[in-house]
Amino acid sequence: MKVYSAYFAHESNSFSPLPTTLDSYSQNCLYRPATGEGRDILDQEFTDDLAFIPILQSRNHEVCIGPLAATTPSAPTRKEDYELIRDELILSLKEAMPVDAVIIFMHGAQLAVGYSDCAGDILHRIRAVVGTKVPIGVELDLHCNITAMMLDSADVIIPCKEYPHTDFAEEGRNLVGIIEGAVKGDLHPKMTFSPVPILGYFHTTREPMSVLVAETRRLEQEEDGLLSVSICHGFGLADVAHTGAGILVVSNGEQQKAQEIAQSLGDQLFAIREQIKAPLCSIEYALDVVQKNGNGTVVIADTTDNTGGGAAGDSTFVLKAMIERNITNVALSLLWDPMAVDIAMKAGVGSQLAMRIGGKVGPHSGDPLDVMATILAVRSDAFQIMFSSKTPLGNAVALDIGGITVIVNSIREQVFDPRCFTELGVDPWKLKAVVVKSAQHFYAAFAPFAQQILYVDGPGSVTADFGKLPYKQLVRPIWPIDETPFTVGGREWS
Amino acid sequence: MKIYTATLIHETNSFSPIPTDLDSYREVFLYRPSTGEGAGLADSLAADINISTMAAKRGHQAHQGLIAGAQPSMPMNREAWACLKQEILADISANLPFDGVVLFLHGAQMADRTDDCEGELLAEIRQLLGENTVVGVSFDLHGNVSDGMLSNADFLVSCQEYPHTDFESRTEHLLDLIELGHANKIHPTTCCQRIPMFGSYPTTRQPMRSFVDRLAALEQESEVLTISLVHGFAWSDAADAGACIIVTCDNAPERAEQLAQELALEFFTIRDKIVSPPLTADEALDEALGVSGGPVVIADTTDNAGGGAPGDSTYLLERIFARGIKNVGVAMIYDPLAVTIASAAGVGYELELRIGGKLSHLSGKPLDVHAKILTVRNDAIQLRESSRRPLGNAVLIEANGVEIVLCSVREQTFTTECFTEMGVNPLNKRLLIVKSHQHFYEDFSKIAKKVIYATPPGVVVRDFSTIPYQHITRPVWPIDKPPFTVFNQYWK
Repeated sequence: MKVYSAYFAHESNSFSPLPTTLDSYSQNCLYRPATGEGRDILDQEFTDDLAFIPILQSRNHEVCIGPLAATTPSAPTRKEDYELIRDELILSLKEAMPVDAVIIFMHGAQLAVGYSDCAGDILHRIRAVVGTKVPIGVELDLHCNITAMMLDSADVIIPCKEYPHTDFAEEGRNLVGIIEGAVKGDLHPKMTFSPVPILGYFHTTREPMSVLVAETRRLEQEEDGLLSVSICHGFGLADVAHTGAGILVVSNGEQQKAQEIAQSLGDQLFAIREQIKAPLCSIEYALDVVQKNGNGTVVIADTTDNTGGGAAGDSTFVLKAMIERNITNVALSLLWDPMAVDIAMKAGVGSQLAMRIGGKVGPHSGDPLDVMATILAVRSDAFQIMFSSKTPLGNAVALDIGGITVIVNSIREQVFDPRCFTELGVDPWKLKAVVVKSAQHFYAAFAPFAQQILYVDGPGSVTADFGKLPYKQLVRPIWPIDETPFTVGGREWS
Repeated sequence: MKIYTATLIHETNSFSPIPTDLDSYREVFLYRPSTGEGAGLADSLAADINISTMAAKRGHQAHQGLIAGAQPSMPMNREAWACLKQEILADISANLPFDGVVLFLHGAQMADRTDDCEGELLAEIRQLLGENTVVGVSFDLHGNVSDGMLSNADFLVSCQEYPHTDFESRTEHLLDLIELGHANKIHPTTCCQRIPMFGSYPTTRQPMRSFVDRLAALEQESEVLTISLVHGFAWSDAADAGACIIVTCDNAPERAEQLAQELALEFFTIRDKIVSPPLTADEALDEALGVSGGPVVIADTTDNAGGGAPGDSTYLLERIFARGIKNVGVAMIYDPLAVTIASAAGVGYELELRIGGKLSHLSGKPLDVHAKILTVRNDAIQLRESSRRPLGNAVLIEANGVEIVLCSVREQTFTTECFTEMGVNPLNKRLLIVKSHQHFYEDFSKIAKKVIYATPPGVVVRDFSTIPYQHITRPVWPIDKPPFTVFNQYWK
């Protein structure tokens, strides 16, 4: 079959201090068939969220690749830049016509100025081009906010199931299988979505969330007519009406059963809400643990400064507390400060100088810190592995500031991998503690070696304390901002 | 004559937070003969520092050597210094013999563990050349003259104006002397009298103006070949930091010595009248607001990138916000990060932006403002003399009624183009804040109702008693109070 594929992904944080433009995509991932910009991306190994493309190719399908555009989470995309990429996507689809199917990856919580539902907007336009008979399949990030426009426009939507997102390739394979069946006429997929009025970050690495995820997989395998069963976690930092979690079931001729299972899983998700919310602690508590800890490395996730949620990645709250408490034999990565990197690289390895580091983007960044730094390492070719693909750290330096090693870099990116330390010559497992700027994606690579993992909820722009955020569009009531029981969508939630 | 020429300029501030390496030169200008990097640079270089072209115009066979200049900053690292020095030495030894060597240097250049780059360089050049080649140096009056410079060059000629508007004429003057020296028509005898003074002395005001004019008149005397009043650069922590007068006479050592001593002692007596008094941010603003009409120009002298400061301090701006002063233009705050964020947002966008205060504990606190993006440019320039100085990526923002130019190339404010290129009409502003100590003056004085020199905290601090020196020669005014005896003279 002939499949049109594209990639347009951005997790949009309405409260992020960092604007998002075409340049933001250029700096991360941008291939524009219309201009040829970024054509080299096609020659590289695709990231896991695009695994469906090589999977399609390996099954001898013809794949027409449209625009590939993704960037680190930040504020909603500038209107004209969003429209530019969207219109190029639609144009390249028209040029590819006729096609037998469309398979596309989007984030599901993408906003642009003037657009509260980019995925719905794009899918609606794709449907207008391909007509009603061509199946449209969509893979999403589980931090998606599902809308009626998405459900009406696409045939199959499958979010990943794991947080950290380690299963993009697996779900991509599932999606390809369903679309193949639909094109052949063997399958007639229908979607059922049951919203759940909760906000939060729900790690699938712990019970009972891991149990509920296992249940979705069991249902897919054992229940006749259920093609895909997914928990959509929602993305609470997108200030739009449809923000929230839900259960999405793709079924084949079993809509009644799908409806019942979606509701039942939704009720189960709501019931375990207190147990699955991220186990956050204060900075002070985390540092107490570090100071008392005997052996092994404590991993502290600086969740509120997670660039993967739209934060700047330059906040100094944890670092300042460590300095004030004279905690040594610890390291922190990645502090985003291209100006400090430039200074350190000019000074060179071995030199010692007074520097001002971090705290440079806005109030959520905390105060910049004036430190005496020794330059331990300088690299311009270091990388880490993100969802199985190499992603560069940009210019990066390791600074020693009185027994604390700080990795500072020039590309705003969260920590996925211990290479964020080892590439700069720091062995994290010889230290008392490492601080990683990430909410959860660090987990897969760090957990096997960590003595324990602590999730810190300090000040920052990716707060999990949703009650503090100045929402304007969010539909209330919603947990945890509003206390249960409450009534939403004609249902009582308690 | 076959003349070797090279340009190597770095004013070194031992207390700057900005390190210096080869990339620091690449950001300003760098031509390396050994690799060909920056070839063609000579053609685009301003006339005042393009010695090779000047010499060629006079009919000489000019050999273009290294051209390297960096913004003032910390002493450069050893590898970079060794590399640049070798560019000159290897080039000379590969192309010997030369009739003359003419260099354009700063005079206050330091490297890690080398306090006197110019002296070291000239000594090694002299070793290659022997005694019969004429060596001349044109340099910045903010140089610190060393014995190594004096004993290894035949002619040392500094510019005499601050702002430095006379580099070209002084270098032509140097070339005159080189030609006469090579022809054995003159026999230079030089005396340098050191002067124990630290400070900045604009030549645009009295009595400094008259003093400099008098030196020019004395140069016309038949025995006198050249006189340089060197102001010195007090932010170099080196034994030679400080002022001096260099007098070169034609085969008249006594006259050179007598003139140098007389002029030095006389210069010392006008010291209080040629420096600006310290002025806090609030005092400067009070004075500016007392002037009716505008624009009044306040120079943020202590955050002058041209003296090794980051150019991102917020002391003045913080007070302007706190006092609610409107209709103000500020150029420029060095903040490439804020420029990246603001230019990504684009013209017309409003956002919360943290500006300034990014590089040093002397940069002040960064300021969180609600900013409207008015202009985004990546091709804006200011023209200093004939040389183009890019602002890099630059944005104009409006915050609290103040229009602020943020730039991504660390550079002082030379001309009103820093405003006009970004869409600000400086004539309509009540108050203009410029980050510069004196080079702004030539252009801004034409439109300024008044010029005020402010000294808020900053890297180029004017209160020398607060600087943690380790190597300077004491006593020195104003840290030490005269009378005192030093440099074989009694100073009172």
